[in-house]
Amino acid sequence: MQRGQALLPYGMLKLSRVNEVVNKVASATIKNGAGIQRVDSEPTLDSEGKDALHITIVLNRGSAGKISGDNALDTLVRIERALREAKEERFPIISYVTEEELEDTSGDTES
Amino acid sequence: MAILNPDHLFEQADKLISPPPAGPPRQVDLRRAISSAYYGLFHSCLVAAADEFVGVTQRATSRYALVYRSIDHKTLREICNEAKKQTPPDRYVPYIPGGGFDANIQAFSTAAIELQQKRHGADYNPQPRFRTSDAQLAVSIARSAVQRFKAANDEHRRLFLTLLVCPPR
Repeated sequence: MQRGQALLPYGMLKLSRVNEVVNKVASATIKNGAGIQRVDSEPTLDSEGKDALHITIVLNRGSAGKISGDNALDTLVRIERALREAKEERFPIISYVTEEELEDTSGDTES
Repeated sequence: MAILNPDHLFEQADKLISPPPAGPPRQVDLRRAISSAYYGLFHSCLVAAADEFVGVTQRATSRYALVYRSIDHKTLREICNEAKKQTPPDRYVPYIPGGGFDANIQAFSTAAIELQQKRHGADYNPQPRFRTSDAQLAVSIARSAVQRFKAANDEHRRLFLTLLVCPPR
């Protein structure tokens, strides 16, 4: 282990590794002209207070609406499976955002 | 009995996501759309279970309502968690098909847990800002998951519904 590298508990991958795994699977699964710009992930808690991952898939500009429900569902199944096979045990909560949505700072901040 | 039609919940979600005359949809609308996506999936499961064990012709009866109301979110999450596994815990083994549930039940289970978590965040967590594309995909995933559930192997679907109504101890 390199100096300064935190030791992660069993069942937790480094976030950079999570991003790699998700990016690889999503890029291979998402079709119909939609593309992945990048993947970001951060630790969070699930609805029961257990360790989880919030994973954001940033889609290329113009990709919104190009992903079918079946394709999104297959992507979800394959991401979960790939993370499990990589020994990541935290539950992945996956969100999508497009590049143009990230740039848009308008809209309300309250419900 | 007025059963919630899952398709109507999905249509409600579509309306909430549709762009307003100016700017993006309100946060409250996107959050309610994600919630409706999950509830569409959830109620489709309740209807399937009550239709299976009481009967579609008995929808107006209190017995139908009893079975319909017997499934809660926690039970759905727990059964879906086991249904996704290739090797379930011992207490589930006698009730799960050899080799596990088919791909359609596994996909439905994956979507159910994912959407339940997203619904929880949308309803209770004030921190995240929800985006239109995320809400649209949540609704699309919910619709596809319900279709996959209907397309599942009949025996596997019946076993899954039995576990939902009578979880093993």
